[in-house]
Amino acid sequence: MKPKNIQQVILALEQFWDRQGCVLQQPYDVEVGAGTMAPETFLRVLGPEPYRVAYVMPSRRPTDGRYGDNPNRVQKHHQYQVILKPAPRDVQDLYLRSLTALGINLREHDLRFEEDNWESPTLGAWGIGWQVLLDGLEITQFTYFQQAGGLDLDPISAEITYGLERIGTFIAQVDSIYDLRWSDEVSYRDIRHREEVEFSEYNFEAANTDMLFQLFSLYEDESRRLLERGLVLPAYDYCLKCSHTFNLLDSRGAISVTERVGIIARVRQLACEVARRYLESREKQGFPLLQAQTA
Amino acid sequence: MDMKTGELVVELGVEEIPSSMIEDATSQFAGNLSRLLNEQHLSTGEITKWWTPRRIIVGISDIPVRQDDRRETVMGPPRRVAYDAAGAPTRAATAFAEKAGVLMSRIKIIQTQKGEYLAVDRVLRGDKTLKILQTLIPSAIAGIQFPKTMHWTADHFRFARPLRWIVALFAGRTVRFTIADVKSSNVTTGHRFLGKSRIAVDSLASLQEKLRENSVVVDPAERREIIMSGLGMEAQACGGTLLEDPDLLQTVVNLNEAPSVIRGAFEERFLSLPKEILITVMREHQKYFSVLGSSGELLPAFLAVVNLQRDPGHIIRTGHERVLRARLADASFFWETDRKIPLGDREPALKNVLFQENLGSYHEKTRRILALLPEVTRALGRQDLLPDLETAAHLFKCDLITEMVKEFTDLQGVVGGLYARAEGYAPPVWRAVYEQYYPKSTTSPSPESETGAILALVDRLDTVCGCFSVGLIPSGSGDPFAVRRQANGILKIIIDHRLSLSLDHLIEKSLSGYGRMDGSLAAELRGFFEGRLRFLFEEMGYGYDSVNAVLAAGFDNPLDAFERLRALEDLRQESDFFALASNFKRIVNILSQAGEVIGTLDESTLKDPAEVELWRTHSRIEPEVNAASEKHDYGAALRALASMRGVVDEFFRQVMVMDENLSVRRNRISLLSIVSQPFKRIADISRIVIEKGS
Repeated sequence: MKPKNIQQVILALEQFWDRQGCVLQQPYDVEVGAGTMAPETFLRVLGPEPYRVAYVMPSRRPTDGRYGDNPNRVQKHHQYQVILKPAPRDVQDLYLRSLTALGINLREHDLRFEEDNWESPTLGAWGIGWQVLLDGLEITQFTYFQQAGGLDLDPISAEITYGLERIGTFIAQVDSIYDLRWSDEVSYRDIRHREEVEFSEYNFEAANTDMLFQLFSLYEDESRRLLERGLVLPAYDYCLKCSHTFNLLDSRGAISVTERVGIIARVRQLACEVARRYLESREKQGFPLLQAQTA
Repeated sequence: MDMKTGELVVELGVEEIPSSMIEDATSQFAGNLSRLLNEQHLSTGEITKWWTPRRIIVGISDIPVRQDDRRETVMGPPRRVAYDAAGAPTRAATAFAEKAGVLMSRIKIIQTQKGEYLAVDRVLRGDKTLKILQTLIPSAIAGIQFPKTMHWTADHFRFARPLRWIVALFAGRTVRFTIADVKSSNVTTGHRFLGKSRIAVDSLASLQEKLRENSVVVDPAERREIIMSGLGMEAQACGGTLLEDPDLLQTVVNLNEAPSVIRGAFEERFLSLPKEILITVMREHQKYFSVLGSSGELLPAFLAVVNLQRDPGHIIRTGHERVLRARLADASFFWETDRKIPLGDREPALKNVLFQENLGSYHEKTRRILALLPEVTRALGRQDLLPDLETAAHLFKCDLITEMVKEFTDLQGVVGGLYARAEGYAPPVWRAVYEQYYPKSTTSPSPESETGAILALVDRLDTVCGCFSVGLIPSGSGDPFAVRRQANGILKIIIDHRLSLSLDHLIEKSLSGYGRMDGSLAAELRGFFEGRLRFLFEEMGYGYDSVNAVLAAGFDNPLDAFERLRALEDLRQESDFFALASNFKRIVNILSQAGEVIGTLDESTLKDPAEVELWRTHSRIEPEVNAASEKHDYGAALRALASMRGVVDEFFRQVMVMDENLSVRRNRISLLSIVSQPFKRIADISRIVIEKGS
């Protein structure tokens, strides 16, 4: 059955990926720019342990804010993130079947995989893949991760990132995301528009840059301190906080050219150190999910 | 001899390989296969290369089904250690026979340069081709190089995208092997949505036919024709003609297995946007073709190539129209909001735009360009252009901070030019900004305007010298800042706009803008430009030896080098050119044998009529050559030099250069040296390769 609104899209994807043996995770409770940054992706793809997970991730890109005026651009959008580790042979087919599960008849549409290699300098991560275009609309980013936190990956994970707003507008055939239904009862505009207006003003005009610079340093110090104590997961939270703080400073135009490169490098250092320590910690635990698999 | 042959068919099934890589990958694969076959002493017939985004297909006809038997001689120990005093074979001899698997009676003695040796003739039985292919095809696959690769299997095999199936047939039989967890078979798969997923094939022809039945057109040439005719028809249906775009055409040929063309429309209100922006939005983001009306204006229509044969309910068309509407709405928004701030007011903000990590911001680049412009216009004698160029230089990078360029990076320069035009700047100013990134490649056009040519040249010069000064020097395939392309652009502009400039001067001035007065860096840059000039000339179709000859005579002024090259190529067409070149080669050989002892010429010592005649002719012709060279009329200069051919011939017939009398000998060498000088200033024709029989 064709989903009629955003939450039915989410439900259909949850059902589909549940049947593929995915852990259905909940959104991570720290601000991130993309579902990739959540620990369920960034950390789980490291090391030999197999894993399958799917979750919605609200993704904040402060510079994309348009005060609620632009029909397609928002400072917070929603991704549906799937990680399949290792990537199964039929991963493209699985993905295409998930579109069918959304009621999209692929024999009537122009679907293509066009080269688009994902890269995140802040995470020391990159992959090879495509953007998936449906009748010219980019609805998904499809990536075979090759490196995360500066570490070569083995086995390789497939990452499927659906843009929920994009898929929603495609299915509903509307021009503006604000015309989408979130549920039968309320529209996307009803529950999100005010948030876009306020956060755009905050991101571009109101955010206290002095405070943000201080926070950045505090978060960075805390992340380092926690790393030294071997508290890898909390250290990663603070690394993510650094990243979001940087994004806010960027949207306030508070970061000069020379600073920019340096700040990205500082976040990347944290991310790479977290990745290394996480892998050590999993190894010390005997890679529990490897055991679970063979048991 | 067994003359039976068979056809090889290999299809590599992949997840979508980028459109820019697939064609080259197919060529490499075909090349690898035929090279490896030939190395195995197997001849090859006709080679077919087909590809789609999901397939690399190579067919090779007429390959023998087995190798011929080959004879070879295996060498053993020297005879002197092979027999004892009694003439009986030693241990060394019997061990050799044993190892070769023959009786001592089959051992023979052969004579070599090092003396007599034991040897044995052996016949190597040829292998079956089917068996050879089991290892040969995997090597040919592994030998395909991509600009960017990934791995996805436990064995870490690298390819552009995952391999998912392989068809490998020889003479109708499956060649069995496994690579990257894929087992070869005779089973292919059709179009993702319109074809069957398991299709058995037994030949190249059946592969093509069965895939066609399953909605895959394997031959890119055929897809190109389908697309071209579809584009023509749909453009006509829109009431216009297609805006041709060969690069985009190649891209869509490589992106589709079952192409067809659909047309769509956008609202007329968007036509208030500049044509360049509309075309770019459609081409870069959506891969749509544009349609032109009868007077060259853009029509509110687009043509999209889709990977299906039909769109009966216009579902796809409606979808594409919706996407384009959103894109154009963005572009209109940018066009309106960007223009609220005059372009020139953005200059200070360039301090926050990084040109290169170690080379500072675009604001600093602008300063350096402003310092270089007076030097370059003075060198060209075109100070009249300086005011417009300076105005343009203040503006030219300002579009980098417009929303339009942030969204459509390919439009940098063009957008700045359009904004400058809208603000009422004079054509020499806005065109210079507009054309600053031309030429995009050595085969695409240079800026049309003089100001555009100079600004584009100076901008690239600054980039090339800057990159060298911080060690970003291209090596092998590594050239992250595309410094080679930038240098090619400089040289192409110089030639297309006939700009007479000294590279040394340009390099020196540019490096000084970076505070570098570094002789060795300048020398490195000079060498780099020489390599780029050689590349450009050869790409223009000039013979490498002519290019060598001309560059050896100097390249500081690339335009001058180009004119010498053209004159030399013209002269090459003439019948006695090679005689002239071989004479000159003889002179150069004599001079190099003589070493450094070349002194001054003593006219009174010349006594042989032939040498006197050579000297006279030279003295008569040299002013002519110099005068022509002054005027850059190198055709006339070379023709004058060529007219000496008979005299030089006669000299070599009559005169013995290496005379016993040392002062005569020295004098003759000096004469030859003087005679050869004019050549060395135009083209060192001793570097011309003279083919036998010409």
